[in-house]
Amino acid sequence: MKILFIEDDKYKRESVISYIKSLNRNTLIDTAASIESGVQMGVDNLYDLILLDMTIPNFDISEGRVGGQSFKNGGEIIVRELLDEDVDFKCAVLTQYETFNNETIEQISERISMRCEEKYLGYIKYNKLDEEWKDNLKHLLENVKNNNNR
Amino acid sequence: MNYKEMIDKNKVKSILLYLNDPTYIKKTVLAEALDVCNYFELDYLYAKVPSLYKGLFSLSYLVRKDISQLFKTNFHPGGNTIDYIGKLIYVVKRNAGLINKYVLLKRDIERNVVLGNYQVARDLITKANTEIGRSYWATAFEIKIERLQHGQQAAIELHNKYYAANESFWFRRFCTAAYYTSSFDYVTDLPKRLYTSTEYEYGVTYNAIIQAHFLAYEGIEEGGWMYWDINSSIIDLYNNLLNVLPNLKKETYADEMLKVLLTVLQETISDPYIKRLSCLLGIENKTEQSDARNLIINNYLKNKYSEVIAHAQTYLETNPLDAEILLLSIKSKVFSGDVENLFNKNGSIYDKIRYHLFALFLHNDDTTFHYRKLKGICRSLYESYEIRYLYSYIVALERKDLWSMCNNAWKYSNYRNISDAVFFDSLQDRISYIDSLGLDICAEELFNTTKDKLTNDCWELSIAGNKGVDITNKLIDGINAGLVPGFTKDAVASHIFSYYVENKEIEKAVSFLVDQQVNDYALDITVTEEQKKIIQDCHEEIITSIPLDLPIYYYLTNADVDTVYLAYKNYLRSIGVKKASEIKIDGNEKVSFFLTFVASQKILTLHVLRFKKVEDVMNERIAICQNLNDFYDKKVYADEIAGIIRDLRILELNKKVDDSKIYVDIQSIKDSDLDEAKALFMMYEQSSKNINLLEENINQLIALLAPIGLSADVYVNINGYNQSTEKMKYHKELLTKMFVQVRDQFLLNPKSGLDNYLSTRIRHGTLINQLRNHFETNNLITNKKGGEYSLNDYWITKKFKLANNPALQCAKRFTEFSNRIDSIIFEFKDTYVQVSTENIKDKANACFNYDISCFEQDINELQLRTELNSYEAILSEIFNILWLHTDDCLVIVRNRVAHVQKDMLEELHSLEKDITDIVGRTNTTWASFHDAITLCCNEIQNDIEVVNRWFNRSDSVDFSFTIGQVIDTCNGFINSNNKFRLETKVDCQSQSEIKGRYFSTLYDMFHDMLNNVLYYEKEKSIGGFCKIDIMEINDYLNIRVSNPIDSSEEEKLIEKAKEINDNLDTLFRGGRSRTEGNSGCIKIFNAVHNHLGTRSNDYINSVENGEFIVKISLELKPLVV
Repeated sequence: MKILFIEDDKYKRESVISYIKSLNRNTLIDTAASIESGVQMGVDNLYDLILLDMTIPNFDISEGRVGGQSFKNGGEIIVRELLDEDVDFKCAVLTQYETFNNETIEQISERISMRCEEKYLGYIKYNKLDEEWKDNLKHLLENVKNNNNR
Repeated sequence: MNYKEMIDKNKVKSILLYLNDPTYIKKTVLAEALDVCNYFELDYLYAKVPSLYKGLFSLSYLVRKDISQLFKTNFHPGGNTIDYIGKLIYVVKRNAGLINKYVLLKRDIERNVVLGNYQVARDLITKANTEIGRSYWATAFEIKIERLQHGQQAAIELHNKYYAANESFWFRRFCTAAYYTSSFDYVTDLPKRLYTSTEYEYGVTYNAIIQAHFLAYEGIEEGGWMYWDINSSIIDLYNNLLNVLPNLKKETYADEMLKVLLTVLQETISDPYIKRLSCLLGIENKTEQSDARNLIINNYLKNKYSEVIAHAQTYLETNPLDAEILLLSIKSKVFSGDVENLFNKNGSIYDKIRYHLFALFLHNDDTTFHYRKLKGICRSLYESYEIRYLYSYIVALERKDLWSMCNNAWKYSNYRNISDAVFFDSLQDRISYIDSLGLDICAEELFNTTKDKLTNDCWELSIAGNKGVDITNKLIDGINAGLVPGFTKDAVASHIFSYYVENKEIEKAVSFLVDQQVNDYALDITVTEEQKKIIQDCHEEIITSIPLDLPIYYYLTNADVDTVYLAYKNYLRSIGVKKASEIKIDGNEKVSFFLTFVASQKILTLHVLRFKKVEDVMNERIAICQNLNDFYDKKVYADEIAGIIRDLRILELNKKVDDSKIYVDIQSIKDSDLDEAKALFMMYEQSSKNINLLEENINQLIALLAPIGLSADVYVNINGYNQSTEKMKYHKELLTKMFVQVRDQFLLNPKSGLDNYLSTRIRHGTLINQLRNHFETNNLITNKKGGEYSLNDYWITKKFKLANNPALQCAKRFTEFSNRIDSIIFEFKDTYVQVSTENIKDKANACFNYDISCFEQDINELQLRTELNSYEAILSEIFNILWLHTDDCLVIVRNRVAHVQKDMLEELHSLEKDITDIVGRTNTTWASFHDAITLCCNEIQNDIEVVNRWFNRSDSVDFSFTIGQVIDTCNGFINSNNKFRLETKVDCQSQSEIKGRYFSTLYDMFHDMLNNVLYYEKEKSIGGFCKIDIMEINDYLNIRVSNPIDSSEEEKLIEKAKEINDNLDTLFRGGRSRTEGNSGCIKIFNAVHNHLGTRSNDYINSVENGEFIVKISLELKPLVV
């Protein structure tokens, strides 16, 4: 399975990658840390799953501090851009936040779902203090795998 | 109606019995009478009471001789609305003479205040106070006039005087309200300040009283509060009665008793307002209309605008407060093509009103400002009925609903107006009313939908209620032909837009809005959230047919940035261009609007498949503006280009600030501070020669002995070799000493050494600000006050709303967290970002460890390198070794930074866990706490990235800059890294291009100064600005930085400034720059005198006129390119 993981939090990224690898060491994981790199990789490559953070900067932080302007709904922006570019993808959101500009993840998720229909596989709440996300992610990856095998 | 039936004679008789009974207190009998009797009974009773009690039963106590008497009585009569009105009218009737006098005085006072004749107004108020009695109406007016004439402080003092003069709760509340409403700049939270919680027992009544007296523009509703002024004064009671009358419920107006009571009122009081109201209620059929007034209205209706202007000018001189005529005259100016606003916006209130009305009706600029100003004035002078009329018109205009434009107009004004007709429900009644005005208008004409033209005020819509398709089509034709006047254009355009949306003509709706808005940017079309949703739902259907209109529409209606972006991208795709800068400009207004407003940096930044970094976005925007400027040659585009270029420069300089923190001014050290090293080198060189000579002798000996078969080993071993080892040891010792000399200069030179830069650029505030900032902005840590961390009020009280034990537990945990985070930062700063050598042993964990033992191998190798045979060569190699070692140290620091990050993140997770245990996830604000922790975790990682970049070596100096750019960069850094904002006012008159090598020094200098101001302001909260003035005079760059100080500290600070000035040189020479306890003054001194050029530079601190001032004078010649 080939996954694109778009996440700017290094610790969360390492923790999630390590968990995915623990499930299946053969899983290929590309990473991106901004809207720009995420969209570019999503357009250039074919992935079985794009795992998205919701709050991310538009450009990679290494490009300079201003590049690190963070978008609360950056994940949604990526999804809309990929749809606009006619990219064939499946995605899910993996977020630590509960609210985004006064919207809940449920509300944003509903909107993404309406836009993406079957391309969107739902969201998982990541919490360092609670390992529930691992079960949810495992379940999600199994679903993706099963769908690929069909 | 038989009034006699309304009188319960037995009731009256019993009251009279009480009155004649000496055991009863007479005021109690009056209270009983007011409570149980209706108007007719009170009137009947009054006729029966002995003349001794006539005064009491006239409520003569309401003629207050002194302010302290207001609200001294405590009557609480019962009854319903009609009862209350009856009781108030009874009192008014008993005091008709005084009230008639008041009516005349009130009009005169209002007129004089509006015209700016404040002294006349004051005299008239004094007359009212003396002849009619004191009132809070007069008190409020006096405070208002005081403010208008002598300013806020004078108004506060007068308020305080009156406040102290009467202890009653109500008077004091009114007094405070009078002060607040005396300002023309409407305080947006005024209702919040004046109202009380309705949870309190009398909250609702209390608020209704406040509303009727001071916030009447919010609307008044009849209720049990209406009797309240029976305890205030005769003037206030009458005012309150008039407040109530136009705000009754429909069923109350239908009550015949009300008409009876109003008949009494209008027969008793000669007030034009009551006369007009009586006319509307059918109590009186006709009121006299002024011929002069009717002439103006007739001329207006016949579009004879110049005549309106001429007649109105004369008329308004004596009646400036006839709001309708004022409105017609200003509208006429607009219709007659007058575009120059000659009214004095700083003149009298009347001038101000005319200025803003004219600007509003012209509709050439942002109307929001004029609406705000006019509403502020009207709210402050809301006692005046004409001002109320004006206010109702302005508010209706702002609401942009053509069909309710005149809905409330009938409630106000002393004059009969066309818009009063809205009072009537039936069409016929409205026509009859307008006909009764005696104007040259066929009222029926207004109600005829087939006529060709609408009146300029669209009275057909708001008065006649015509809402058909015909009217809408006429409006569409009118607006397209440019016939709709500016002041109704917002409303007309809003109606047409709504009409299209309601009829599902979405494309037309969007294109109409865009066309109108592009042609008239000041136009304000209302688009409701519901309408936005309807259009958004049709996005897919219209995106291909109106690709240019749609992004403009989304932009104009403040759609999400990603929605605007995708529509922008779709337009580019539809015309086959990859970037907006490729669009050819040919004068098409919509295309220009798209490029000017839609293709902004905010949108371009999302076009990530085209633009890979911020600089790309900025350059694209420059290209767009350049294209626009080439075609239109407008200053606005040139200004934007200049602004972006400036931002690009600051972006670049920001990177330089981050990348140039690790620095040693090698050239400066080489030039002036290595005499001892040079002397050591000479000794070293001599020692090399000695060793070489010895070696040469041994070699010669070996060469002589070898041919005769003898070995020289034994001689060398015994006599020469030991001597050579000694010499080699001495030789190395000299080299080591020289190395140490150079190393110490490299590290500790007070002007140019590494530690100086570590101190100035990293340890002095910068590091703490960078690492602490996001903990502060997320309110997770607090600052110390008096040595203790202050309570985390934000989360504990405001958010979690905790009390008792959970509050204490949280407080303890948050304090512990603040302490731990600060410990991590301070430990890093004080223990690790430090320099150590074998001579500086107190920094055992310093990352910059230059102990000589680290260089043993390097020195050995250096000693063996015979090609390094000059001072310059060996010095250069030593610096090279030191830099290479510095690189190793930087790796160690960066590893330590990673530890700091790890420790901080662990602390954050631990805090989240502990607070969650106390608060529980079910707490409604837990999610926002969790988000704050998550956000902080994320931001800390970015901050750490920034800090990591500081610990890299860079020596790029190949650029130039202006002093203004240094200030912008510094200001930007300080404000992006501090929760507390530093407010600056910069006046920079210098444009000289300065050499890149001086950038960091100047940046450090400003950083230290601004940081000091920020910390002072943070602690003292003085308010005001930090002023930075830069001038170039006689080849000198004069810098003046000043900030206001706490006046109680002035003397102390004068002493301190003097002490610093006196001691700077001594402290600097004593090497005190390594400590951070001197507010950066030594570092500034060092920068000014040692890094930025010549002896003639100057730096001085002073305290003058309540400000701390730093003055720096730099000779420009050595600095500039």
